[in-house]
Amino acid sequence: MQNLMLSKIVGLAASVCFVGAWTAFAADKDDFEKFREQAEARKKETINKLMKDQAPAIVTIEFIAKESIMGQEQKNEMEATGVMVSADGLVLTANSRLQGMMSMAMKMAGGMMGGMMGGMPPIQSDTENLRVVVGNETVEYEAKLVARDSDLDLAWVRIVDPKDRKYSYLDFNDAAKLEIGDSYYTISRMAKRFDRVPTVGSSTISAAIENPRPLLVGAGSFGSPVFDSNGKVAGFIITQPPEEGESEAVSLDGLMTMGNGFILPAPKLVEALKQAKDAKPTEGK
Amino acid sequence: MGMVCSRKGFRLSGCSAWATGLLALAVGSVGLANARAEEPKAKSVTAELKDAIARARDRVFPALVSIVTVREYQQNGRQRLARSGGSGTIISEQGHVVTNAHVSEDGARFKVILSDKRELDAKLIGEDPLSDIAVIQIDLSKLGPDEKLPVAQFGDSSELDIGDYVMAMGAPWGMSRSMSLGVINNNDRVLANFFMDDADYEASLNSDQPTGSYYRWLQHDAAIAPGNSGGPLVNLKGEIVGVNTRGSFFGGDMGFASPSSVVQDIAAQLVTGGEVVRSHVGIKFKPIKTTGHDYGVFVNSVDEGSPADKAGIKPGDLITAVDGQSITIRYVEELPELMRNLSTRKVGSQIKIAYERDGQKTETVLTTEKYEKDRGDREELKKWGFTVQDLTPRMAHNRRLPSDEGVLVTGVDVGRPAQKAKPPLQAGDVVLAVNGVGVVDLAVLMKAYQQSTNQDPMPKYVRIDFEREAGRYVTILEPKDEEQSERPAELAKAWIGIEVQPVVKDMAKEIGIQDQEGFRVTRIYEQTKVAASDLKVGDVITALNDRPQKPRSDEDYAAFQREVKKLDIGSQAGLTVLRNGQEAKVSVELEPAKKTIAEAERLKNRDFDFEVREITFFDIANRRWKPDTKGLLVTEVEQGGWAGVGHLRLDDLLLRIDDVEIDSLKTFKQVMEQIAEKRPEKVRFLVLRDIETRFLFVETDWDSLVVK
Repeated sequence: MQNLMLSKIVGLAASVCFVGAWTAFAADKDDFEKFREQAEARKKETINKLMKDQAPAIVTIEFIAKESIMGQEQKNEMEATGVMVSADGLVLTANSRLQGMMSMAMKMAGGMMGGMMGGMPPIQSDTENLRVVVGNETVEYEAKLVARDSDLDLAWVRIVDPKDRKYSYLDFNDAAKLEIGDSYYTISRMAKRFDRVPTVGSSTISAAIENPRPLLVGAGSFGSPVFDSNGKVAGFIITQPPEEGESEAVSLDGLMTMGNGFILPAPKLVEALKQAKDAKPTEGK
Repeated sequence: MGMVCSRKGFRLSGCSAWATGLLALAVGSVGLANARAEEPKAKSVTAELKDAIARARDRVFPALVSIVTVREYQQNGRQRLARSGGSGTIISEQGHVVTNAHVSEDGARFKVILSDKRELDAKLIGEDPLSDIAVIQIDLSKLGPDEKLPVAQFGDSSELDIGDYVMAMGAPWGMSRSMSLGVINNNDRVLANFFMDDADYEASLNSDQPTGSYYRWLQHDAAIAPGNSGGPLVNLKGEIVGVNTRGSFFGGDMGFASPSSVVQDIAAQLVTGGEVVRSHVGIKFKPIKTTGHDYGVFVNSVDEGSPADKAGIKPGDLITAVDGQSITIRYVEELPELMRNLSTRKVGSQIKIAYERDGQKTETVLTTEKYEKDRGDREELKKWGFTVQDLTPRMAHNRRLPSDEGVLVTGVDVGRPAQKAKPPLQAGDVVLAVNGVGVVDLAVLMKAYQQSTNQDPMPKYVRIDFEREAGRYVTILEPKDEEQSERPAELAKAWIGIEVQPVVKDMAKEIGIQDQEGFRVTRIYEQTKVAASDLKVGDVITALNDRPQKPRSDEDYAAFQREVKKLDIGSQAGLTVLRNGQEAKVSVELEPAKKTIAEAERLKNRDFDFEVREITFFDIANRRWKPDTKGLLVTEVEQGGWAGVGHLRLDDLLLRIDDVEIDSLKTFKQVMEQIAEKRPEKVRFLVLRDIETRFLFVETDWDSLVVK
């Protein structure tokens, strides 16, 4: 009799535990779903906010890349994404974006191409006829390449005649800080035939490097700004080709990492921007 | 005499040996005597040939000239200049020089170098692409008052036989007054490939200009090379029997010359009238070899609207007689004679043609028309950003255009007004009107262009009506002067005026610093802040501001300066160095990085067609020039431009122009503007080339600079 009572008590206890566990599990599952939905909603909200608030500052730079290869001149019409960084028409882009295709390929392949093209004179590349297109406007604003920082892969283009217009711009002074593992967003613009619609990409900071300079590593199109998961600007995507004199052994890994974006944190950008704002182009060719 | 054979070979008996020896001696003596008797003959033949060659040479050499052509060509919407060379022969005391049309083609300027090495200007009298013959005329104004030019005579090429000696004279690869000897290999060569259809052969020579269709060639093996073009083929009498026109790099020395029987007549027509007037019938013939016919000549194609078309002749007809004379063309070598027969008729002649169609015989009469110029003149519209060519009836016909009215767009310069126009112009478009005013030909277009671009300011927009693929379009372009592209300022970074090499562990051991890694100073630039410090070549920098400096690899040359760039300009950098095994501290003030060669400013001069750039600190250091060296480095020279023809070269350091020292781009710009105002005939450049100075006397041609 006592045994029966004991077994009933154990059975009841087990049932209670089981129901409790099941309930807890069910509750966790609901919470997880809620959490996931909330995260999705937040993400969507952030992206919409980026589109609304930040995308207007993302512009397109059209230019002619003139390259002289073994005495033969070649011109190509090209485009690059840029970021308006001041209300009076100063635009930031990646310096490597303003190169001709051959120059860019040579630079990115570095030592490998240097070996293949050994003995050949370097490709002379010039950027001409720059124009800035704001959003999807049909007007092209004449612009000049006013400054660059080849080490940091930055270049600044200034609209020649802003006509008292106040452009939407990104303020890198008030920036977020990203670390390894953080998610981030980028914005760029699609090509003219797609109405230059802004497009948002997302990725995760996968590494941090110190050499050749302190940079974060992620994916993204160089020349695009980077925002944290709350939509606050955090940095700018650049590229880091091998430096002159450096060669690298050809490796598949190396080729794969060519596509990686290197993110220059905002504070470094702000330092460079201070110098660039006062820079003027010199009389050239 | 007997011979005994043994296993060891032949063995002769004693007596027989003597007898055999005497016999051999006798035979040998007779042979030797004969040979010696032949020697004078052979020698005399050789001497005669040598004398004949010398006589022939001396009759023509004095009249042989080298020709330098500055030609204009179009490329990607721009008109450019190039220089090319050929040969020619003076054929009249008035200074007429016969050469190839492909030597004079697109020539903007000509220079002739006489046998006594004097250089004289020349002008084009006329050129005939169909025979590839041209005549230019030397400017005699620079000759002495009683001076007469040496003149060469034409011979009769129809007297040539296969095997006859001929000499090719000219300037192969630019080596003037060269001569080679050969023989005639074939005296009625038609240049057709075995594997090509005969009409394809014609088409392959250029649809607008079928050179070589009307004539047979003299094939010979006197060595010729590029530069021989236009030079004479000479017989042993010292007469011009041909003009060397083509060579072949395959199958040994093969040269092809236009026979003098053709050249003399063509040259005379060019001298008299500036052109060769030919009749045009509009038929492309095909030999009957593969057609299954036994007689006649096959009609491959009939030009629309041509005399043959008007007379009712159609492709596929078999022509059997011309003006009552039966005709059979079995092989391609026979075609040129027929075509020449027809083309040399007077324009407007009536020709009776008998032909068969689907087995039916019939006759017709066609009236010849003038064979029109193949290609129109070309121009560049620089401020509108495209190049054009006048449409000839032939060009219009080949493109199936409704008429030859309008001007063909041949190229569009990327980034310039025509390419930025809405919609952009493209090569192949035909300009029909400018600002609503019809453009019938190039002259009208150029007038409209100059009127528009001479306005100050230029009109903001120009409307262009054009045809493209049978559609009629309108575009608006914004004329623009050519822009000078600008160099952006490179943001200043801190720099120490040294070069270093990475020192990794293995090297560290070898240079006696054990496991210490760092950067070994290989060079200290003069005239820098660090040159005034205690740092020495050979020091190994192991730390910068107490921060260890370790190269990542033995190729990590840039790492040290990369660290320096992170510091502030004007601040003191503390270097920890190893010197002779001992550690030392060196303090260096950081200065702004010097401008690199890539950042050097450049300036182009369009009149003389060359570009210069400022010299940089690194130019002076790397070339070991004196620190106070001034000048501008030449970075581009257009081959056919004044500077190029005047022998200015890439990498020359331009020191002076006339009497003005060139110390900056600003001075250069000012001097060139003054020269453009004064328009001198010659400008003197002083350059440093390698380690020597050179004076270059650059000739100008201001009249050739039309407002474009």
